[in-house]
Amino acid sequence: MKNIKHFLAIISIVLISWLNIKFPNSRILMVVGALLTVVLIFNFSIRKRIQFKSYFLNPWNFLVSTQFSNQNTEISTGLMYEKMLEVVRDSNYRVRDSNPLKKSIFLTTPISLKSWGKNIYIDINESNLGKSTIKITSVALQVYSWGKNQQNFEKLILEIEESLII
Amino acid sequence: MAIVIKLDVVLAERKMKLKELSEIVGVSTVNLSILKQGKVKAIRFSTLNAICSTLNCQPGDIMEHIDYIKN
Repeated sequence: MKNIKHFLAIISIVLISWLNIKFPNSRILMVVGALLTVVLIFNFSIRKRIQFKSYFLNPWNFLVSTQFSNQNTEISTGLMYEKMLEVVRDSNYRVRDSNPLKKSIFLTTPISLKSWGKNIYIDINESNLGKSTIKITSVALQVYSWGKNQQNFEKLILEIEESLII
Repeated sequence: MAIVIKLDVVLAERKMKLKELSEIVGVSTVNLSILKQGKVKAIRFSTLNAICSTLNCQPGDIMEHIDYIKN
């Protein structure tokens, strides 16, 4: 799925570039450009709202880059949820929403010169009796992530690992 | 796991609650709960020292190594 997305993104960029050279004054290109800008602004305006979680996590959302990881732990879901909240509160992520019943946490990273900002969704599910699985999904508001998303992601996983050293 | 944590036993003997220990030692209750269940990755000497000082016990009183019987 990820490869298809990247392939389609490259094809689109090549197609738009070609059309731009072939028809420099075309209105279609202006409309496409305007549409992309509107969608981008829309994504930025709703990105901090938990209600749009399924929209950002939808595999057919071609304007975002997602990355996910499942971590198995021996710790129960309730305790792991508390632990995760502790970890993210000590980091530079901003907790936008946390649901103790669903055991889910929603974080965002700030926009900087290097990054457009990311949405991170954490879901803690029971795997076995007394054990849990942490699913972390990082969403970057760009078609292709240049490695910053991966760095943030690895940093969060490392912080979780390190937090288990008391 | 071959290391068994007996923190709950020592706490019960001292009639102390986990929250009280957490406040004195400066380790969160979440971390102490995870330690109590023996599910931490490692424990720092400074944390162990603080726990032992507070509970007036030896490290061996709060943890024990158990050899599993091989089949």
